[in-house]
Amino acid sequence: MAVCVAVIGKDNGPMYFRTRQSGVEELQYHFIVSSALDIIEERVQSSGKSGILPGGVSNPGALEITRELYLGALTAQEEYKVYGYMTNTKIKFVIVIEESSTPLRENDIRTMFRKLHGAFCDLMSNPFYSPGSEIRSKRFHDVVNSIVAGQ
Amino acid sequence: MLSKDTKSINESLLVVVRHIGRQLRTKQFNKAFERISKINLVKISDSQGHPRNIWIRYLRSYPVENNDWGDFQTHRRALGLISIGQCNSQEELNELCRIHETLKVQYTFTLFDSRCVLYGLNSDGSLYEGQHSSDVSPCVETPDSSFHSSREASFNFNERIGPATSTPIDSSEINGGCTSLVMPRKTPSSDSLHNYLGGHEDAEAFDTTSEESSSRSESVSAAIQYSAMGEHHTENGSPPSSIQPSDTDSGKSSHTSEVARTSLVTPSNFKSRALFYPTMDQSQALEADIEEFISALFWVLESKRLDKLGLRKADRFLLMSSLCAPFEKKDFVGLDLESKNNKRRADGRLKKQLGDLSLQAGLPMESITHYLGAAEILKSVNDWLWLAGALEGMCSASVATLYPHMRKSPPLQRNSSLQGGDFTKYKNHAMNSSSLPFASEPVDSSMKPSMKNCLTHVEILERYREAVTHYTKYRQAGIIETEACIKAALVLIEQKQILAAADFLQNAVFISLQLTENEKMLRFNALSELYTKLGFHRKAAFFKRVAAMRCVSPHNPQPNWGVCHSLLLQLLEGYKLSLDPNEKSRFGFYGWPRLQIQVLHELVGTAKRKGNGALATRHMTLLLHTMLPHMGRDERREFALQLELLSKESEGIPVALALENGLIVPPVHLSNIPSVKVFKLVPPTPHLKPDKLEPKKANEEASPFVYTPFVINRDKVKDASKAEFCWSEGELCEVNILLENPLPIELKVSSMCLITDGVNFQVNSNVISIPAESSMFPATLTGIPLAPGNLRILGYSTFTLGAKSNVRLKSMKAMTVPHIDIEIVPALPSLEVETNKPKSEFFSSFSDSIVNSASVSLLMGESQECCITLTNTGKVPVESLELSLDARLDKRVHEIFKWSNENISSQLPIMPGASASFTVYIFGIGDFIGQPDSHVVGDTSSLNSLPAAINSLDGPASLPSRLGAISDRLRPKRTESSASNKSSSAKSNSSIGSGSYSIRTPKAAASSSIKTYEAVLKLKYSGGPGLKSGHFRNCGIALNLEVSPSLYITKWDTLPGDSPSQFYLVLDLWNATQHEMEVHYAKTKQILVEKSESCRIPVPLDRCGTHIVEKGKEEINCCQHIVSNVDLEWVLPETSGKATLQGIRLTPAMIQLVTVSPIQWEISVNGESAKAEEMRFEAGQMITVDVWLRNHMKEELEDVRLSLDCFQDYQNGRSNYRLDSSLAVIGNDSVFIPKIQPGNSFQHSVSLIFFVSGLYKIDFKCNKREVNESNQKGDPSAFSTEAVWRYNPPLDIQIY
Repeated sequence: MAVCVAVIGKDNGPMYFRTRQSGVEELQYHFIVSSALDIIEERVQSSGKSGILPGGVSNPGALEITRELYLGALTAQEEYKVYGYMTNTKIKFVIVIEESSTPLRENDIRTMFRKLHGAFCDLMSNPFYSPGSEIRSKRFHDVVNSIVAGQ
Repeated sequence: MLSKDTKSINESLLVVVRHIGRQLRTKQFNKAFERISKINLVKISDSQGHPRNIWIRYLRSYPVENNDWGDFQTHRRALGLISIGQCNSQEELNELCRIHETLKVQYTFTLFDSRCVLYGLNSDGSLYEGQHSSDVSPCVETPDSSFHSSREASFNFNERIGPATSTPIDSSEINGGCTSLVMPRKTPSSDSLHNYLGGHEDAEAFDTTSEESSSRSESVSAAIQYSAMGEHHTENGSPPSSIQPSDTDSGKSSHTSEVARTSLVTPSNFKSRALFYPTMDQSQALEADIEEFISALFWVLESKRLDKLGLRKADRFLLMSSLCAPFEKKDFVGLDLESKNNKRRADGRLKKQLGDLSLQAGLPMESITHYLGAAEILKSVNDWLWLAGALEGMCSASVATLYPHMRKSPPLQRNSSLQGGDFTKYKNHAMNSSSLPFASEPVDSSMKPSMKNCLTHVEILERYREAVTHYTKYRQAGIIETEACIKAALVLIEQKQILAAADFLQNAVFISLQLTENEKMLRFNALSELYTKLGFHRKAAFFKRVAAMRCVSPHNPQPNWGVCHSLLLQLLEGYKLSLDPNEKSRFGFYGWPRLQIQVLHELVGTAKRKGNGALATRHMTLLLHTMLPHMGRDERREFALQLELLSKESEGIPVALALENGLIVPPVHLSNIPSVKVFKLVPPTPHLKPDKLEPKKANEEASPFVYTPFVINRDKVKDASKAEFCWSEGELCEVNILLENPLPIELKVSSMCLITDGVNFQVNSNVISIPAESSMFPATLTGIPLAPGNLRILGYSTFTLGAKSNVRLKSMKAMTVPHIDIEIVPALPSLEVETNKPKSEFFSSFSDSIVNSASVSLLMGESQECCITLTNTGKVPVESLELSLDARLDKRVHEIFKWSNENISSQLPIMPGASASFTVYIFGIGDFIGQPDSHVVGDTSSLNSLPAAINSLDGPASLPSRLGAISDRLRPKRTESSASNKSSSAKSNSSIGSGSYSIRTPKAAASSSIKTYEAVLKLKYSGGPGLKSGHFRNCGIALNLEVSPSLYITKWDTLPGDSPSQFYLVLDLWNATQHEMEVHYAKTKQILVEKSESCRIPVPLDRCGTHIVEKGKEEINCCQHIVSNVDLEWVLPETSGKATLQGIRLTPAMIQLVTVSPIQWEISVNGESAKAEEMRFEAGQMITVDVWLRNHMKEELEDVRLSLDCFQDYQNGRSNYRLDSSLAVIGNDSVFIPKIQPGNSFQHSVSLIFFVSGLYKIDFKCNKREVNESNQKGDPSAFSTEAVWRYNPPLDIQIY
């Protein structure tokens, strides 16, 4: 079950942040997601250089173009796992999954990200949204809600 | 905290360097330590002549518990001890020696050798005399002070551990057979991270804590005898600067005999070697001595290695005593040590230890072989801990071989300065050097052939993984595991496998260790440093924060807010925060506002708890200032109130704060609370604006173009930072600002004033209260410049929410210039102007410096006086005052307003506070000539108006109609047309008889013809210092004049006068006022004109003399003559005035009358000179008339015809010229005179006979023939009627 969904801009500032429960817990997720950025950066960099795919398989022939958007699990801790996803425009999506809930398959995670990416594309298509600014779209919010609710 | 040679820990010898005594200053000690630390690699040739690289690691403190793990990993043993102190007397020397011995006891099981470095003594042991300078200053708190104080407690501790000393041990195994005391084997000190932290100098705070923990475990046992390792000393020879320590008691005597009486002697029980140096600067031999010391250590180590190598079978004692980890001790109790399994285990462990020693002794290749063997054996006996140790050692040895450059960096790298940029640099460095072939290193080349067992990169990673996995099986080995993880991470960083390194670190985080809060803090801090190294700045910051929170966690019995605060400061970078608000722009608003607010808020809290109120206020100010755009309304309110609360205790001042650790916290200026949207200097009000008379530049006319789009003088381009006006000294100057309050609370700015540079400026502070969330709130900042010169306005300062801020213009978004320069001119007086006339309601603004106004209403021709009073309200006297009149619209105002400059200048100077006054004379000018309404052209045509030729000449419609051919004396010509008009009573006693005739009344209403005149009386004044510098001030008085019509001269004409030298100017006066008007028009003549009525007056005038009249300018001259000679004065009940005939126009006929005729008539009748009165003759009588024409012009008269006409005047406007039957003319009644010379006369006689009685008139006239009339040759009618000179009046002849 996703407990936190975050969209991070290309300058590594948060554009959207949502946790299942607001309050003290929220700050903790802020810290988690911000720390996860380090790993995203490193992973994107290393995959760009040596072509190591998220799975760890070395593929020197792979080019940047074919970089997979899904970055896989970033960190795993006792209570949660952090998954990352980066669009080609360097917009990062981070989803924090609670460990206690029923184990999710990687495919489920990918689906979540794909859904999020779709919603984000819709948002970008809105001419009234200025890219890089805080996301206030209701539609986007609804999609995130559905992800958090595990639908 | 983590020196870069951490990876090479496994192969280095550990030497503890301690600061002893109070005489040596910490700084001096640090200097010495740094010098010693540079010797981290000593190359020694072994007995076979092979070169050995010995790495040394220096620590300032080393907990004894860690020493206990020395069996498991030999590099954990402290092999050497160097104590550094200073002494000035024998007592101090004794004391220092004692302390040194005490220190030795701590590491007694592992110590190979020790040195005591003492400053303040010459090499022979005598006191160094020239030292009483910087070195001596005592009472410097050294870290060792705690050591002294904790001695007593340590004795207790010693007693407590007493029973454990009985543990049998083969002392020769450990220390060359020099000790019999065994320290208790305790659980490894969990803070073994001290290994990594101990050498760090920056975190003073940690040092003290670690000192404490280590000193707690120190045991003092001064009575224990030690045997020195004399054989090594003798082997190596003693350098001249060192003293051969006494081997036993005998050493004392020999020692004392060698030195002079003044020499200090080490106490008898001092068994170490002391190195004496006079001062820090004079200790060149230090390095050599230390190297000698290291080589001593090496030889011991080498001998031990060889001992172990010779040892084939490990016996159970070995297993018990030296081949087990501290926590394993109890496991061996009751164990069958003779079992095959255990024997193999001992074998494996021995091999492993051999590997450790080989590695330390500079034989990594050999060590790998040992490790491989050990791993094989240990694996088979499931000794996982030692297997892991062997694997780790294998990795270490391989790393040492593969990455020799990793140790080349200076050992004392200050890691707190290791930042992102540094890391990449490091990466690059690693990349470069790894690309170098190993052969380039001469040292490494020797090892190259034996690299066959060396692990590859991938193997290293795998072995480390394996080792860590095995370590995990032992809870007690957590610290070892952590270390292994960290080492692995470092190696992986070297391999640039950042993610793998991150995995190891992540693993290290999860190792649960039994730690105190303080140790946890240190652990997290170390992790943070490692993450920094990894380039994971956010993660590093995160752990820094966790570490900081540990310092003050509720479980922590001794919360250390100071440390917490300094840790928090270190993590700011990770969250893209900076204490310097100006630096913020570098990051933009990137980062994570939510976290930034959190961290800053925590910073505020810790600073407050720490007791540094000023710092808390500063942090709060920063939080509010930088995070304002990211805060919600509630947060803004909350933080603003918090700041207010904090600043009550310690108000925010705009100066940098220095923290205890030397960090400078720059000031934060609340430039957004309130934020200034508009900052505008107010120019002085126009009448106070100082001006300077600039000499006109010649080059301005250089360009032939009236206009060019190109700027000719580039330097004249307006400088935005330069104000276009001046302020003057001693007067209030203002800056207008518009403020915005972003807070949802009312913002009280208790002081807001300007910051200036340059001339002395007295600023006034304002109290402003800005409503919540309001923008564009206006306020004014004021001040008084106290000296002339250039004033630079740099910004403004505010005091709000208890924080004082200085905001520079350059940091303001609304401003484009970094500062504003304005010229302050010397003091000038200022004048206040009063008039005795009412102020005008409005005045046109063609001058902006008007301070007062006066409005005057006058009738045309009326005069008034306006008194103007000047008061000097300035502080300097008015010394110069110039008046001028500015009337752009009307040039005639100069005729209206007049004043006396002499009167004004006589009243100067006007002292401050004094007044002066002068009078302005105002005359209501007006056009008296003409009709007020010019639209009645149609009417005028019905009059006997000017001939068309005249009209077409030029013609204002108001040009008066010629009163017609009034050939008779003022006979009313227009009785028909004027019949409807009420005749005005003619009260004139005119000699002409008929007074005035009613003529047509102008129709226009008088009100429409009120004329207004506007003028500004400009005062240009100066005085005092301002006058000297050429400055002045302008002020103006607006003068409004309303001129109502009084009298109009609607028509005029000329009539022949009573005598030939005179003529009558007949004027039609029209009273435009609402009162009866009396008009004086000649010396004794006056007439009353009813309101809005006209009357006609004849004004007798002398003719215009010929000398005045110039040819071609007759009209102008005549007009001037008339204007200057006619004095019309009108009198109303209250006022009176004068009318002028300025603007009168004359027709040629009129001119002829006005000018004196060129011909002088002399007529005699029957020999008698003709008279004005009637002459009586009988009918039939011949009347002889002689006419003399005299030319009294300067030129000759040509083509003149003299003619004579007789007629009868019926006195009713009709004349009868048909007198053919009633008279006979004898002679010519008409002659042509070709020429009359100037001054000559022409005489003509003619005789008349009248047949019928009656009244006749004879008219003589001269016609001048127009020469250019081409079509009328000889025709008498060709004579122009214009140039007619008559004899006036005609002769009257009564025939009876």
